[in-house]
Amino acid sequence: MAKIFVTPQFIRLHPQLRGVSDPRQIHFHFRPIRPAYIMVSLDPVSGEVNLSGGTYGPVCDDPLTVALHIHERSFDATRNVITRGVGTEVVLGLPSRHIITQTWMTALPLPRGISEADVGHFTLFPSRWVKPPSIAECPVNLECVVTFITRYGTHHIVFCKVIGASIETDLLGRPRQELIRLYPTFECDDIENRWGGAIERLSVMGPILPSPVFPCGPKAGLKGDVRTWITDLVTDGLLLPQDAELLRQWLAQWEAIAHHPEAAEWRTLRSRLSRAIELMAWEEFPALHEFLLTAAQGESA
Amino acid sequence: MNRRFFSHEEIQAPSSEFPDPYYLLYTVRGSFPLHLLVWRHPVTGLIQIRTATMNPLTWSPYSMSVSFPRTDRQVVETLRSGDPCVMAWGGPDLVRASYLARLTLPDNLDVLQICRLKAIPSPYSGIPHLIDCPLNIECRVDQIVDYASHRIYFLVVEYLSLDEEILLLKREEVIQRYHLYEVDRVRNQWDGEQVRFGLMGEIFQCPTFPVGPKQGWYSTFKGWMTDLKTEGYLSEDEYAKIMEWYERWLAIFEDLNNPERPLLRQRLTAVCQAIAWQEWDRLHQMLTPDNAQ
Repeated sequence: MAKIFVTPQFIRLHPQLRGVSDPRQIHFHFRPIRPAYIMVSLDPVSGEVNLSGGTYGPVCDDPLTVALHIHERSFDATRNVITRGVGTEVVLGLPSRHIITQTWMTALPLPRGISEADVGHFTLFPSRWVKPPSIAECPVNLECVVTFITRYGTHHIVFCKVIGASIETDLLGRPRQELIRLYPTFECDDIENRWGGAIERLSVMGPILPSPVFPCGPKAGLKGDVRTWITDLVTDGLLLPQDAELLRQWLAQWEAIAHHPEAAEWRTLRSRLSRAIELMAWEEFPALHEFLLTAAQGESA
Repeated sequence: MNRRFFSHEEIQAPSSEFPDPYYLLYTVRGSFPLHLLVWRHPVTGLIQIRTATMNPLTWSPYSMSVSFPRTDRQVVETLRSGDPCVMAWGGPDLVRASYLARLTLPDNLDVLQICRLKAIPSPYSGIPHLIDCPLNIECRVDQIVDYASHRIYFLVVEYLSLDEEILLLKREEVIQRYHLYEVDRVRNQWDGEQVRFGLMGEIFQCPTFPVGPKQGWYSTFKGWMTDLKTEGYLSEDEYAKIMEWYERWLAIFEDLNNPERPLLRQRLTAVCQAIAWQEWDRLHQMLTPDNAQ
């Protein structure tokens, strides 16, 4: 597969190519699609409610914290959040596929103090843990406190710790596949309108792909390690006890020299263990047995 | 619409009330784009690969961040400020490799071999791009932030590579090729913790002018109103009236006790509502000389 190599400066110029009808298409090939939010904040002078759209990403799960990136030209969000600093309370509503038009309206350049909630016919309701209200049209509202702000390039990076959340009762317990097709929407790309401006496109998640499970990893999944994986394979008859024993010996030897490439056995052991774990991971157990048998015979010879 | 409130502690704690212990956490968190982060061990020079989710930072410089638990020794001890790395973005064919790159494996093994990934040298740095991934984004660690249980790496993009055949594809096709998303973690039949991946689905188009400025993003109220006047949605008089209200509103904005303020706010809200929902008759009615005095 031929790869083309480009610079960030190149893709920012919205490169054109014959056969591509939309001038923004190539640019967005290089940009991951990310989840969107509608932030509810309060004007520091008037207390009036402001809604502004953006995208968020993960910081950590405990405490659940998400990151926002607020552009220096996002005047409302800058005034209501950045200038107030750490400790500011906000609500992040996760928009659904049913409010595409209203979500776009949160990006309208309204005069300060004219609420996007009123203009977009959003229904607000009191939050439980923070002052800004939540949005009834959003299936999930995250009630957050700003815990970290740093200026970075053209943006401020803002960490929001989630101190509580409200969820539409009807959604609780529904399968994940159903929920991800409903919310949140993602900022997918822009296409060009006939005035040379942008039309934003939002998207929702599609299929959940078949999940890799034992035997291509330990039964404990992410909480397991190679040793438990080997034991699991023996328990289920996919690995002979003598093969497992050899693998455990290699593991013990490798742990002693893994960070010493100068060790005599380093290269051989690395190659053997890598191959053995590869065969486990791709569930090629007859080949794994052959490989271990050959290696054992080689060692005894 | 009925709502149920959950505290931070309830969101974090595994609950038996729902189909899975992590159900609530992922119900409020959403899915994040997922890639394979590739870098080299600072001493041995061996390739390291970890699955990670991405957070967007800025366009100038083009940058993103990734975060890892500070207990993830493989990352924390080997990825340092100034180091080059590659964010490799794969699709459905890379589900197994992405899972394997998330497991805790012994240090310094040949992770490319274990994951059955093929690499090609980058013309720019010593970190290879992954052939199996349509998009590779070459970065440098610019800043490191420690926050609670996690270490966050700010990555500045330096070069990118894309499979040539992607260039002509429309977004609807591209999203079937890449990116993967981390959907959630669920408990498996052995009481283990399994990660699930997904792909992007349907795409919806937002409105455009007149429901917003012609430019789309980052225009101004004045720019929007001018667009409406230019295209005949507003007469000269209507435009002048709206701008008069707008200027007056800004002038008295901080004068919260000014008796003009509630009426001006009501008028500007009604004008913006009528435009946003394309209620032109209502708009013209409220801007007639009699009503707009």
